[in-house]
Amino acid sequence: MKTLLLRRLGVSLPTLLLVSMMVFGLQKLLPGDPALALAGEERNPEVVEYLRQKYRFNDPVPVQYAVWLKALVHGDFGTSVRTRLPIGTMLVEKLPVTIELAILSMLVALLLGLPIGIFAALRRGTPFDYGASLFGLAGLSIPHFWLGIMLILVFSVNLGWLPAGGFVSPFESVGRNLLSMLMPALVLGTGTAAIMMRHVRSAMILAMKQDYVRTARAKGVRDRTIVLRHALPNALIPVVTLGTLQFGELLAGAVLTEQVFSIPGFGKMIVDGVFSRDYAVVQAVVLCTAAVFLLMSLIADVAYVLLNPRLRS
Amino acid sequence: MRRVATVLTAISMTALALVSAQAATLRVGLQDDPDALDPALSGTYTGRFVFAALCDKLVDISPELKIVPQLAEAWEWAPDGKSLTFTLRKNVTFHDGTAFDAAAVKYNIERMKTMPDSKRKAELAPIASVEALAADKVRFNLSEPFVPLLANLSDRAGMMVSPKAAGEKVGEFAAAPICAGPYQFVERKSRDLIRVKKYPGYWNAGQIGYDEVVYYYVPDSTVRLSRVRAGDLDIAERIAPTDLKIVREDANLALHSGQGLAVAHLMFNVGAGAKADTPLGKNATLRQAFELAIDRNVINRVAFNGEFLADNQMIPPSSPFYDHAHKIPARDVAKAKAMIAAAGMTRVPIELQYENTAGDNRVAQIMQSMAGEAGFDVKLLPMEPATAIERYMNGNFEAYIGNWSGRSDPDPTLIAFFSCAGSQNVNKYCNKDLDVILTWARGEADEAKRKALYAKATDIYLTALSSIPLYHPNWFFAARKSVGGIVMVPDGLLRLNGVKPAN
Repeated sequence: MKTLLLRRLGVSLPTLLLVSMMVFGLQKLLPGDPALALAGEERNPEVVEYLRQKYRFNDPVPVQYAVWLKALVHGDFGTSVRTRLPIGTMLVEKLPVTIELAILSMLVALLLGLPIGIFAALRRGTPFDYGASLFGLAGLSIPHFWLGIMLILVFSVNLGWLPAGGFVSPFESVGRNLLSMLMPALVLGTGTAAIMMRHVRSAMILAMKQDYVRTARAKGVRDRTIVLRHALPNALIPVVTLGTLQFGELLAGAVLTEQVFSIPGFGKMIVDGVFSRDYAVVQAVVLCTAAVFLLMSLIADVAYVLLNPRLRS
Repeated sequence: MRRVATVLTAISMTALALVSAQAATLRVGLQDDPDALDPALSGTYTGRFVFAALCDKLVDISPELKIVPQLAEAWEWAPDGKSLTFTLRKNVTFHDGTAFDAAAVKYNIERMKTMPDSKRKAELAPIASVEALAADKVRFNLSEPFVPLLANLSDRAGMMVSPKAAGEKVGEFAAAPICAGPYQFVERKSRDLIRVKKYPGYWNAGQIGYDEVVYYYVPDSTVRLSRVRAGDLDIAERIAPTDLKIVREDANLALHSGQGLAVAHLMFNVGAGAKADTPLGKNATLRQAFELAIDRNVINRVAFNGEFLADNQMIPPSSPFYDHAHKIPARDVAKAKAMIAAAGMTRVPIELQYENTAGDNRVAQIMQSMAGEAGFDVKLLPMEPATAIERYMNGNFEAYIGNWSGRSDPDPTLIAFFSCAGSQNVNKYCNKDLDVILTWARGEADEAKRKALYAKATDIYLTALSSIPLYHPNWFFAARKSVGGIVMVPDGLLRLNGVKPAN
């Protein structure tokens, strides 16, 4: 286990470096002049030139990159050129929001996807199975944006049960925090649940056909034990892969869901950063996301080992 | 039984207390995340929206676009128009408790004129020096007579920040701005909210109606409206014209609307580089034909449910300087065709560039179809905004849909777009006669004479048509009926003096 962790960490650092280089380089390929985007409606040439100097837009890209990397090593993510706020603070504010939303959506996805997937596999061809397929299809094909607005109209505007959007910090009020996260988590979670359900179902069907299941059945083991002790852990391996990937994706930000529910997370921050050519913000968020993604794949590897004893040697 | 009643009373009292505690907070939904909260650096509408709470200005504009006192109680022009003396309001303090006086005004003007990335330089350029004559008297000496200065000082250029705070926190001021407005800065969670609270030392404290105002960033206009309907927000700015019906029909909401200063216009490249070499770029008659080929009222009706204001001038009709003699020409396809034929052509090609937003997309498509009937082959070229702006500034377009936020005085708009060296004259239109008139008008203190000069200027630019003005957007705010005292001003900013819970 220790060597696994060390090996993974050894790979992670160069990966992050490579990601940062790619993001940095690709951003510079974007058309549009960041100094112009910043200089306000009148775009006074004097101000534009000053901004170019100040933010080193005129320097060669490798030089800009080196300057940025040096500051980063010292823990300085830089300042947003648009709002003049320190990016480090922005990340500290947004990361917990994004992580909370991702965890809650994952919870929704697991609570819906796992049981539905298992039962659909065990009751193949029954109305429940078809119903589950329908749910999967709907979950995948209903756009998050539309679902979000519908939920707001029903639960906030008409019924007045839930806040229509915005984010309340859990330190302010845990109850209001959960209420404000309920609809966004549901919107994101149902999409992931649908994918999860399809995977669990097919993995479960496969597992139930294995020799060890037939053996266990021949020994007279109860159905529940067969499913929970023998088939499910084996069926979970693809689910772990999928779950961690999906989780990483949720962390990278769910732009539309964030926009509908005015959740101040990573997604809209990247998009707005790109549109206003606020390079430092985009770099910081992408790097942060990449780091979390790597962490997630490490967790997935550890989970494989825990689930599959054959990998432990 | 009595105990139950007591408990119930206690609960309802608590609930009431909670409700009244909430009622003292005004929650406002903004479409964009404001940029730097420093009047010298700010470049966004939503930034100005927040400044209306934080930072008072030397003067303000009224709904009729007249200059009215704010931090300055009175002002007087020197007979030669080359200096302007303000009498300042007494007993005004900044949010850090320091006094607002003539020295503070001098500091602020000099700060905005010298800060390297100040966006106020052009607005304050005619000011040569500032003299503090007494604690409450300050004189601006100008390099040339410049009547629009007062209008410039009614916006960010006239916002006064605490010299102490700005001097101590160079580069960090925007993170915690300190001004002299009705509300003082509390916190900003970037891309989420900006919280301000009542400033008890405000010179007009009796007009403050809330303990706290929170501005939330809610980018989607439908969502903003939903949140006001759900009671999550009290006010939402810029409601989409297509959603106004919902606001009007909701018994809990009031629609606040008003004419704006902004203008959308179709610019033709008439002199900037190779892209000016088009039939429309070279021939004013063809541009006039283009104007006859389109129907501005149809654009307004189809693209904006008829809620905006179709118009043919850069200056909105709310301005005292609007020229009522130049009416919108009626659509006349036959005449447009005849003019194209007279120019020896049958089909006139043009490439139309615009920022890829819902509104401009619709406007472009409608114009394409209408102009097509007269013989113009309009090719649409939508672009991502930052890219579009770069091409716009470099004159890299044949035609472009411009969206200008407008100013309360006609001078900045007309100079920017039509004077030979104007900052927005990216399509390189130049007419020396017009330059003379515009320069004359900015020094003319007599309003009637100034108006006559702008009538002449209007005649010239509407004949050359280097730009065809299309419409002026109106402002639409949706507010809960529980919010009283909202007054719409053409600059579209929510002034908070007098805004209080309605009974």
